Amino acid sequence: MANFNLRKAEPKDVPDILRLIKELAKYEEMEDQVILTEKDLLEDGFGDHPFYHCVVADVPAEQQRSLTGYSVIGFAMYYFTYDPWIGKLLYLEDFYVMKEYRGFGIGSEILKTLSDTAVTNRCSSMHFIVAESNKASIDFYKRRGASDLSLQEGWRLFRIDKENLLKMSAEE
Amino acid sequence: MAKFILRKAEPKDVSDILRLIKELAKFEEMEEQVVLTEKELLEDGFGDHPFYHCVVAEVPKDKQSVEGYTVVGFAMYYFTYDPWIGKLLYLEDFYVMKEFRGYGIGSEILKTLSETAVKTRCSGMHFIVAEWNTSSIEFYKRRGAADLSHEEGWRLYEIDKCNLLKMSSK
Repeated sequence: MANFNLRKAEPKDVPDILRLIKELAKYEEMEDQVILTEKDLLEDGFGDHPFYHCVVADVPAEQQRSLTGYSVIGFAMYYFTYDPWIGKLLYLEDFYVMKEYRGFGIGSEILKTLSDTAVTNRCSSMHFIVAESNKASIDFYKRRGASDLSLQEGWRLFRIDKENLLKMSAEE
Repeated sequence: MAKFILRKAEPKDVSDILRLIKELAKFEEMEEQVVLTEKELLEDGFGDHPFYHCVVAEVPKDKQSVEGYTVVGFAMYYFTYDPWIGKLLYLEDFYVMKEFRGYGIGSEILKTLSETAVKTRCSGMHFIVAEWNTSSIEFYKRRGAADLSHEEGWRLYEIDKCNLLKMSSK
């Protein structure tokens, strides 16, 4: 089972993208936290100004029926960010291959494609976050030269949620 | 000294933006690491597809800085995407010149960004802070910021250009 194809996501892929987002969230035991809808994904990814980009992995029809019934079996969601010292970066937001299709090099091929995209777009590097408990992913990335900036430079990720944004907005 | 205005950055502000980026980098003892040029800032921020947005704080000419600058603070931000909730506003750089601090410029910038986030239907604002930067951490915590690295164990990783090229060429 080595036959797969990587391509840019199209509007028709939105239900599969949402399905895979939920599968990845389920793996992190957070499935109920996914409140994004197909409508949001469609507007936000395929409108005049895309807020994200996706690469999907699909398999030929004969293989999908025998395994899972799906032809889109992996994806990566990314967008471009900006470092004020060096310029454009590619930010890898989500990255997942269905369990039944792992071990065939699909993940590696996706990361290679993203590396090409980063270099073509004159990005200085690729950034992403990984949960410190996720040893398998950390090893996967370290084998490809990733370095832990949280360790090296002490960065911590903060969030101000909607409720507190509204509070600040309303202050005199 | 309470007079200042906040406005969207324009192409003419690019040299001030670079100056303030370098000042902030200097504060972090990293000034030589700033390789970005005015040309890149102009193309990347004011072309067909902006990769970042900026808000600048400006004072009247009679209140200019010791060196004669009127643009005395800035924030650089862009939009990111959370696959569970959608759009987020990401605060990348945020700095007010030392002699202009304590007048509420920073608070006003953050308020403006909050309004922008709400208006553009963002679910929240994200940013990173160095763990040793206690005064910034406190500034943000006073405004309701939560440390996701602490709560959820996230660590920031990087694959640099050299390793991207290695992967690309395999």
